[in-house]
Amino acid sequence: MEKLQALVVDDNWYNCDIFRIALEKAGYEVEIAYNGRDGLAFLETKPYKILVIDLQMPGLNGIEVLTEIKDSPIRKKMYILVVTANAYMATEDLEDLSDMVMFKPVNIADLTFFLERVKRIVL
Amino acid sequence: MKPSLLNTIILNFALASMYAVSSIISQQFGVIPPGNATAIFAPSGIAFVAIFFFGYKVAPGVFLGSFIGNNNLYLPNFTLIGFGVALAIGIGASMEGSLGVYLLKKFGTREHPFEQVRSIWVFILLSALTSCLVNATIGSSALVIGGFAPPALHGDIWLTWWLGDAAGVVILAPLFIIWRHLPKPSNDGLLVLEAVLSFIALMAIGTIAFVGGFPIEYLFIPILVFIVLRFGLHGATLGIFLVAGFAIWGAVNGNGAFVRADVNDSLLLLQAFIGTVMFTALTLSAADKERQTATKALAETNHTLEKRVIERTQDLEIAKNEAESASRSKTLFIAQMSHEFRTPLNAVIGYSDILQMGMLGDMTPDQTERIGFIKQNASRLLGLINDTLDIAQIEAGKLTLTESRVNTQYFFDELLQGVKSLIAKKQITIKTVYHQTIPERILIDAPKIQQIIVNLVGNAVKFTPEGVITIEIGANMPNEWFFAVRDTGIGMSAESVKQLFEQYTRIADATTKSIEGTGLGLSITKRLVEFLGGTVDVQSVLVQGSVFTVNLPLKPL
Repeated sequence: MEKLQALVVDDNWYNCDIFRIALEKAGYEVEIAYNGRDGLAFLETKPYKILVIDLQMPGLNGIEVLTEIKDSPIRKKMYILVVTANAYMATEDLEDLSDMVMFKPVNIADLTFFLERVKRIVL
Repeated sequence: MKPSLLNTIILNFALASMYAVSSIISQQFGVIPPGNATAIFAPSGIAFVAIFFFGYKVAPGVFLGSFIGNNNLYLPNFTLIGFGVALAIGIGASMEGSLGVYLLKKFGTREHPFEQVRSIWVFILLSALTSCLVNATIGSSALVIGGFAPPALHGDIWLTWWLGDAAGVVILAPLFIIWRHLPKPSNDGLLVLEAVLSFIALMAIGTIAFVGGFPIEYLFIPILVFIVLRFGLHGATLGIFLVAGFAIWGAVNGNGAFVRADVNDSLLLLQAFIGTVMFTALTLSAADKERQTATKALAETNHTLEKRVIERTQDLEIAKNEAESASRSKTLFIAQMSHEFRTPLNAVIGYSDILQMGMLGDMTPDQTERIGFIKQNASRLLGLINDTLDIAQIEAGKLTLTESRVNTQYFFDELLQGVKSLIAKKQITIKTVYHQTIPERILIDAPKIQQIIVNLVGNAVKFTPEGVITIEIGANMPNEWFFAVRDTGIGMSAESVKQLFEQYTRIADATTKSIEGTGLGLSITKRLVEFLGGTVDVQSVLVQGSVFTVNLPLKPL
């Protein structure tokens, strides 16, 4: 069976590393973009099962990336997990743009549980 | 010789000659037949004005002028007695003028003696009537003693002298003192026309009354009132001078209402008329001047006040903007700080999790335990950050109410399920008691209630080594509901309970040394409860345990 594809978009190298480990452990093939612009470019190349994206990034930020793909066909086939360190973020603003919001620091057990569940969801 | 002394001497001689000449003129013309008494003794006015302007140093000029003016007493047939009487009258004249000016400057207004009602009264009562008693007494007595007048007429002479001198002062002093500064030239053609017409009216009335002999002197009054109100003191003094001139003219020529068979009666009537006109016009003009000054002062005060109000308003506006901008930047700062703290913590906790869960290979039990310690401390750091930022946010006034309707039992069951993780490895049972009184659904700010309960249960767990934590939920009153967190922990002394909700206060009993926390938790709890319009009560007994009860308003759904 072909591996599920995952894309991580975060400007912090350590966070990308952690998400990569958790995703790989859950059986995903992971690609990493360190900014929003690169993230959008990656999204054009192939279908991803899951997108893990940070909000506060230099240049194109998470919200801008998500707004960009909001109405595209890519969005429909992909599960979007927003991971933010902004604890004061109003989650209702993200309702239309994402499927799940997690606040940093992320509990890896929770993340793993979530990733396993996403694997079984057929979009 | 100093120029100032030379000036003084010149001044004195000039005054002496003016005094002497006006004295002779007064005696020649301002005289009412048949007794030849002087109705108005102009020199006394001149002396007063000179001393008012130049000071007491010109008093010798008054003396000299009077002495020269009375030369008929010792010339051409010189007698020592005549000489002495003239000296006495001269001394009296200079004393009289000096006293008048002294009294006005002492009790009236120094610079502008005719601009206040009080000062006018001082001028008429003290400077004119009182001061003029001096030379009336000295002069008339000297004449009688020197044999120049029969003792039987002493009283009549005294009275005429007194009123004549007083009239001289009253008519001439205001005129000269006011007209020393000319009125501001007016561009208002209508005003000039009014002035010309009203003075023509005065002259017409004067002519009819004192030349024609038709007694309409009282018509002077309304015209004078008009002049006073329209042209102020300049108009008033000039008008009075004109009216007095007509009255004297009439009296001297035997025309007008004041002419009586007895010369003293004529004099008294004339002087009473002039005095009344004078007093009325001056008082009115002073009152008007006072009113104008007050109005001007009021306008200025209003203006200043308005300006100050505008300035204050601007200051307030600036302060408000600064405060708002400070509040905005504070909120932004809090959010940014939160973000900056959480990012590295995510790495610390994330890597700890990954290692602990064996994602990167198996660890020895010792290693796993130590990784657990890293995670515990990272979590504690996160707690500190959250508490600190919560307090900062509360203090920035940035709490917002987000209310929603919840199923009471469902909400608390789910919440307390999550809270159970706080117990960790302790031997603690959590029990929940729902009172019948609690409505099935309530309107609450769920995230804040959650934070309050997590804080209170966390606190209870912290201070309860083993035992039971009971959470009661109910409503004692129709408009209030409550939840209580009861533990069987170490409890607190009454003293400790008092300072419990203070920021950064941690109860420092020997038994609590090992317990961790910022000391902000309960302070945050209290602030949140107060924000929701409720209260927190604490009951605690050492060794037996504590009860924290939160009472909140029960809102209609």
